Parts: sequence; structure tokens; C-alpha cells
Amino acid sequence: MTITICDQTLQLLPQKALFWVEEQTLLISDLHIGKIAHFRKAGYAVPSNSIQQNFERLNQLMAFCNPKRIYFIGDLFHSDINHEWELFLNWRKQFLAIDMQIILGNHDRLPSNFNEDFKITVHQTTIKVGPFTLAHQPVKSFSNVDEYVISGHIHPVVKITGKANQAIKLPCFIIGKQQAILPGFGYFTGGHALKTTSTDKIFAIVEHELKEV
Amino acid sequence: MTPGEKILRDWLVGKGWKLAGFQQQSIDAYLKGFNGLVNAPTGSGKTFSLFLPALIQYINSTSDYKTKRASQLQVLWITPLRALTRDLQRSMQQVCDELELPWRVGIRTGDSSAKEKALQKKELPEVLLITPESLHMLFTQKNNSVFFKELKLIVVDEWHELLSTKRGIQVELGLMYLKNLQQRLQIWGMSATIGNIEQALDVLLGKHTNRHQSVIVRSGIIKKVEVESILPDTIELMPWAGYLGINLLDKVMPVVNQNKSTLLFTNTRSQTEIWYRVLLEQYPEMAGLVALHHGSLDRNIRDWVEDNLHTGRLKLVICTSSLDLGVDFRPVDTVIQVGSPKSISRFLQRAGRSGHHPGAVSKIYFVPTHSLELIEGASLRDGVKNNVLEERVPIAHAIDVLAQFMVTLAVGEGFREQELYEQVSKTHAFQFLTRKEWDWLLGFITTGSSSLVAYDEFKKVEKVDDLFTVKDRRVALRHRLSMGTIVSDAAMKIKTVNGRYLGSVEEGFISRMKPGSVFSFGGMHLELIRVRGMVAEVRKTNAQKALVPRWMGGRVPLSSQLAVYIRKRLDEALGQSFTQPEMKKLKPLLALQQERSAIPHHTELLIEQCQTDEGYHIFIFPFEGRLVHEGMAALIAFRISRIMPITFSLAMNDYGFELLTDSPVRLDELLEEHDLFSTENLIEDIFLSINANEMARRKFREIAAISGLLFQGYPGKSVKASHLQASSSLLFEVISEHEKDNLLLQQSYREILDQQLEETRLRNALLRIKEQNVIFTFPDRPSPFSFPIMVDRLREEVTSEKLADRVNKLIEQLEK
Repeated sequence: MTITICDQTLQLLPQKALFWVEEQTLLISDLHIGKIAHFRKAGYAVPSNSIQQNFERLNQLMAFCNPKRIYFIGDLFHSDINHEWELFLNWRKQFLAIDMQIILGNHDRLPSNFNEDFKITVHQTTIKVGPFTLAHQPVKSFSNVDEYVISGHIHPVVKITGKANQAIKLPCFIIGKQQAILPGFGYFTGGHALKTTSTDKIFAIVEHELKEV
Repeated sequence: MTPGEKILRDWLVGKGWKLAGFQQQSIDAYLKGFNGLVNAPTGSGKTFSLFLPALIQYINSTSDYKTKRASQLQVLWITPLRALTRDLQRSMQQVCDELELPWRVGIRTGDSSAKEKALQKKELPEVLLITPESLHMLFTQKNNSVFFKELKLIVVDEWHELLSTKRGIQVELGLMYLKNLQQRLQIWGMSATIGNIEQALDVLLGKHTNRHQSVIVRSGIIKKVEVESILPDTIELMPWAGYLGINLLDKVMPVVNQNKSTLLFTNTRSQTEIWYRVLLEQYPEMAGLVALHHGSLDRNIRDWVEDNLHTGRLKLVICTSSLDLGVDFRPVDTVIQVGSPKSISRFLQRAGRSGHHPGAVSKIYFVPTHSLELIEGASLRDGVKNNVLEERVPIAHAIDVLAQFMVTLAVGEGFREQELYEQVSKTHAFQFLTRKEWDWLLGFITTGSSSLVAYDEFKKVEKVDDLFTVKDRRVALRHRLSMGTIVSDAAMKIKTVNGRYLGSVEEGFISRMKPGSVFSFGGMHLELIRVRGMVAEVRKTNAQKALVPRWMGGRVPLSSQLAVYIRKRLDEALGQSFTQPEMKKLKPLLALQQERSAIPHHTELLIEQCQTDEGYHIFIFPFEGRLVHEGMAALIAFRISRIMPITFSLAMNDYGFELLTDSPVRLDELLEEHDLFSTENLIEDIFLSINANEMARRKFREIAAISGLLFQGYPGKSVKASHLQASSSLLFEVISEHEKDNLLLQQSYREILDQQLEETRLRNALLRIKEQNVIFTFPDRPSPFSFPIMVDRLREEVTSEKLADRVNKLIEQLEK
């Protein structure tokens, strides 16, 4: 699914990421690396092999987009360091040529030597890239009418209700007039169904494709 | 006669009391070292039948019993209800005091204060009244086995109530554990009469306690119960569908006024709120004489109501099953049941809440909520007269409860796996647990996988030299906080602005309200002021309009025993024999049913096909209860849809179910060629026809919480430990995708078959249908039988406000 915003071409991908074609840049939000291991460390037996799911999707994105740069829009990590971080570090080392940057989210608790180890540039707060503002949490008011924010944080899902009390929840992209909200990337992170304004477009991820709802 | 027996006899003579036959029997059996089950109704002195022999035994073995403290736990008394403990404690302590026996009778429940618990930790009382949950909580203490060194007797009170629940499995595991610590321990249960009382004893004793040295002591007391329905003047005044019953209020009030003190049972909590409100509006003079009692009210409020019932200050209490059990309220002389209780046992249990004087007749009034329910009134009376009782089927193989128990022991003294496996296999619930399943469970709690080999940082139970134990204090703390088998929805506490707790409602109800909204709760109108975390702050208001919260909770299906009597009533109606007052009243309506369609004989299956503006309806009436009908409706719809492309919308009640479609289907023709009611491939077809995944996902919530897969948060902390937050449905997905052999996942599917779809009953129903003649009728409008089903479907589809309009419109159509 391709859309145009601020004259830029943006691809919404079913892997729960957004690809900015002109800049060859991939935007990913809310990976929550370490969440499954965090649960397991506390004694909650989430299947450990499910950790691979995130990396499988990341690798698909690398093969498909071949990006020059990746922005992680916050909550790259879920909590304290655990062995899932090492898996992520190994993955990072396979793609050292790609510039990676992070806008810190509320979950990210990075150690002091993070930048050296992971070779990922850290931004403490919102940054401007071309016509876009990248922010972890969606903003409610904009600095001017031309600002366009790309954010994440809320892991949006859309609830589609059918007959006979059937309902299904699907992760989605919310594309508004001045803001796009990305689905949470991380496996085992869930999401929140939320109210949208009528001007928002919602693209739900239905297995391997996107559908506007 | 032993010294103890002599002392007891003198004490009884002094009081002018005489032991009942069954009390003497159980005393003798106990003193012979037997285990067993006492089958006696509440208020018959069943407590003494087991408490007295324990005292006799102690006095016999302790010559200086008056001066020497026992200082060790002698008797453990498990009760399902905290409310039961206070009265029990009082009467037991009184006996001890009067015998000058320096025993203390203590209570340990979730309500016990930290101070009490700390004192008990130093020195347990000689008698401890405890809930299954608190007993397991004791097992989490280090060196808890010391507490039970001198334990002689465990009594499980109201065992029939626990039997068919996961709490019952907790009891089974607890008994097994204690029996293993103390081989001389005697195990006794107390139960009301149920259909499977022999099995109840089997489950209690498992294979760890000698069944040959056990006995069922029956009191033989059959309480006289009189059933009377409160009838409308004419049947035309009754609605064809509905559930409130409030339109008979003017007929109910004379009954209340004629009697001293009345319990009025309704089937749901919202119904009690509505009855209370309407009653006070129409009978303002009842203010102060009527109160409300249900499970979501704060304990203090419930205690107040119960105290005032004891003293006879309340004339009427409107309640739910919250007062099914528990201590007797002597002043209560009348019970009223609004709406069908759906089971004869439940009805009897409630009837038994009145008339406690020996020989007194328990009188129960039945208030139908819609016209057809009159048949249930007549059927209940028949069931009661013939002393027919439903079975309480024990749950088996609940992996979630076992997983929790294993961690409980690991938090406490730790366990050796081979030993524990052998012990667990001796319980009824886990007698068929395989070694493979056991290994999976060991893996689940130690490495978080199906094997014992660790390859990541998973931490819960550790294996230290053969001993499975929990070292991490945070793991232990989280486990203690999440123990138990009752998983409730996120409940929001209701508190007044000046800090008084009133009770709780479901989070979803409050989240739909804004500050300033008014709702009805505990008989008061409350204005929502603000929400803080999981607490809703409210203020009393005089506003007239108020929303009534609806609490979740499934509707109980009609029991098969009661269904048999309903079929009999219909057979009689077919034979034009209307002997009971309810059936006489119902005669015109049944005549209309006969005229418009047919009344099925019990050897017949009625199928009505009819067309309305909504589409083409097929109504089928197996009279098997709503759960079976739900499964059968989906099954038949699925099997038809395999023959032709078609979409159905389904609805059901306790008598039958409906398939609605927008194109005509001739079921009579289809049935000639296809065996739609076949039991072949039943389970496969069911799983293909219902949204099994969705149902299993919902079941999984409870299983995940009990087994410790899910952390529910620290109590009292509005901000939950957010980094450990996950929803059960997310877990369900992850496990479905990555761990198909997960036993908890399999359990959720099995529970759907057993509990949700009542698979055995469904299968039996289908087999019966095979023997029945099918009669097809083609009424031009819905019949009295089918109308309530149509309305039920509407309730699920449209909001309650519009519902009234639509129902009225439908009735207009009908009466034309």
C-alpha cells in the first residue's frame, strides 16, 4: 500500500513498518526487544521460540526494502537488559552499513555504552527529518499547519465488528491529516482499539496485505 | 463408655439435648477410626456430628485435658464460605468453654488481619476454620508441615458446593498433601443430598485414604417443602417473554406481609437492584424493613444485612445466590424465588433457607417471569415431591490448578518430583495424569518449556539437589498474590467520597460513564464523582433516574432432571389433564400453542417453520437447556450449510433453538435425505461449526491466571507492573502459534467441550432425537413456544432501549 504525504512516497508494509521511498528509509515503532525474555525471566512461560518472530520480520524488511537508514521511533527495548538484547545486537552487526537511529520511548532504558556497542544514534526527543517530525508518542497539538508527525507508542488496532457479536481486532496504521501513527512492531505486544476522527484513514493489516477500513 | 463419651453425655443432659441418630452414628464411626461423609441438611446439627467426636477422642487421650493446652492444631475445618466461619466459631468455642476445655477455635480466611495471621503463625489454635484458598496459602510458608504434626481430623463442610469446581480440586490436593504428612488423619465431608453422593465420597478420599474404612452417614431428615406459585389473575397478564417478574409485585407483597421474615431470591444481581428500587417506589412504607444482598456488595454491608436478618429486624431481603449458602437465619420463615432456578437442587437449597424449627415446613413461593415459566413452577414442585436431585460432576485433570499447586509447594517447603507425582496420582482429579504430562508440568514451572533443560533466563521453580523450590522472593510474592481458582473480571471498587467502601462493579460499566452520571447500586442512587485507578468515587444523590449495572455471569442452563418433568407436564397437557394450578392457568396458552402449531409428546421432536418480515425461521425444541441448544444449533446450521450455500443467524433458550435465514429452507425435505442429527463425527463437526478458537481464547483467560501464566498486578496499586502486562488473548495467540503441545492450551479446548457445550449431554440428546418422531408444523405466526426464542435473539442484537419498542411491535403483530 503506497500513499503520498508531503509529496513523499510512503509504503505501508504488512510487516508493521513504514518505508519512505525517496530517502530509502525504514521507520519502525515499538519493537519491544526483550519483552518475551523479560516475562520468562520473571517466571511467565511465554514460548521462548516466539522470540525469533521479530527477527524473521526484520529480515524480510531488509530483503524487501534494502534501506539506507532505519529510524526506530521509540520503545525499541522493553525493559532491562536480557539475552534478547544480544540477539538484537547480533542482528545489528549483520547490517553495519545501514545507519540506524533511535528516538527514545518511555520503555527504553539504555545503558551508557549503548551507542558504542550497538552503533545506533540516540535522540532523546523528537527530531525533524525532511518534512516529517518523528516522535514516539502521538502529539495532540502541532506547531504549525504544515507540520507532519510520524509516531507510534499506542500500538493501534482497529476493531471490526460483524454480525452475531463477532469481532476481530487487527493492528493498523492510522493516517491523519497531520499525523501518522504506526502499528506496534513487536511480537507479543498487543494493542489498543481507539477512537479516531473521521478524517483519519485506517489501514488494517490482514495477514499479508493491507486493507483500508 | 469412654470417659470422653461420658463427659459429653453429661454435658448434653445438662443442656437438655439429645443426640440425633445420625450424630450418634457419625460419632461411633469416627471413634472407630473411620472416614466418611455426613449427609444432612443445614440446621440439623451436622456440625456437632463431627466436632463432638473430635473432642471425645481428645479427652480420652488426655487425662489432664482441663489444665493442659493442646497447643497444636487438632481439627481443620474447611468451608467454602467465609460467612459460615463466624457462626461456626461461636458455637464450637462455646462447647469448648462449657466443657472447660482450653481449646481455641480460630478462623483463617482472606478476611483475617495480618496481625491475626502473625499470631497464628506463632501458635495455631486447636481448631482452625479455613477456606480452600487460605489452606493453600498456609502451604506456601516455610516449614508449614510442623503446623499439622498433631492434626487428627479434617472436615470439608458443604462439600457438594465445592465438588464440581476448581476449588474442589484445591481441596482434593490439600487433603492428599495433609494425609501424606499425617497418615493417621481422618477425613470427613459434609454434604447436602445430591444425585451422586457415593461419588462425592470417592472424590474426597481419593486413593490415599481407605475407602473400605469409610461410611456415608445419612440423617434421613427430609425437610418438608411446600411449593406454591404466585399466579397472575389471568394468563393474558403475563408477558410471553421476559426475565424480571416485577409485574407480579402486587401479588408478592401480601405474602411478604403475612410472614415474619422473607428471603426473595432472584437469578441476577441487576435483578435485585431493580426489584429493590421498584418495591420502594411502590411500597415506600417498606423503607428500613427491606434490604439488598448480593456478591458485589462490600463485605461490611453484607454483614450488616445478615446481622439484621438474625435479629429479625428485616422483613424482606432481596438477594441472589449470595445467600444460598451460609448460616441459618432463624427468623426467616418464607422464601420466594423469582424466575426459574433451572435446577431442582438449587430450588430445594433455597427453600431450605426457611423453616428451621424441627419439623417445620419450608415454604417456597415461585414467581414466574413469563408465561411458559409456569410449567417450570409445576415441574419444580414435582421434582421436589419425588426428591429428584441433580448430580454435581467433579472436574478432573485441571492442569492449571495442578501447576499452581506445584509452585505453591515449591514456594513452601519444596517437593521431590517422583514422590509428589505418586501422591498427586492418588487424587481423584489426577488419577489419570500420565508421566509425560507430569514431565511437561515440571518443565513448565522450571524452564518455562516442555523440557527440564534450561537454555535461557527463565526463572520460577529451581531444582536444587532433587528438591524443587522457589528461591527468588519476588517470584514467591507474585505467586502468593495470584493464588486461587476464582478469576474475576477486573472489578472496580466503589467508594464514597468520605472513604466508605460500598462494593464493586465491572470495569466496563464504569468506563462507559462520565463524572456526574448516576447509577443504582446497593439500593442507593450514586453519582460518579471521579475515577482513580481502580476505584470509582461516588456520592449519594436524590436523582430519580439511574443506570443499573449489569454484572457478567452466565445464565445457568436447565438441568436435564428438571427437563424430564417439563416434558411430563406437556404430555399431560396433550392428554387434557390439567391438575396443577400453574397448568390450569396456562391452559389457554397451551391451547393456542396446539392451535397454531403443536405440543410435542415426549416421544416427539417438534420443528416449527415459519416466515416473518425477518426471514425464514426454523424452530427446533429438544428441551435440553441453552448450552446444549447452542451447540446443537451451530451443528445443525453447519451441516445444512455443507449441503447448500446458506447463512443462518442463531438463537436459543432452554426449550429450543432457532435457525433464521433469508432464503426458504425446507428442513422437512432435507431431513428425509440427510441425517442432520447424527452423532457421527460429532466433535469434528462441532469444532468446525462453532468458533472454537474464540471460545477457547475466552476460556484460556481463567486457565492462564490460575496456572500462573499471567500476572494480574499487585493489589491496591493502581499502576500495575506495566512491564509484565500482557493480555491472555495475546498469550493464547503466541502459544497457539509456537507451542501446540501446551497442556494449558489443550485444557481450554477440553473445557469448552465439557462445560461450555456439555458434550456428553449433547450426544445423549442427539441419540434421543434419533428415537423420536419428528413433527413439522408451519404456523403462520410465531407460536407461544417460539416467541421467547425470537425475543432472546433480539436481546443479543439490539440495545435494550430499542428492544422494548421492537418487542412491543412484535407482540402487536402476533396478536393481530
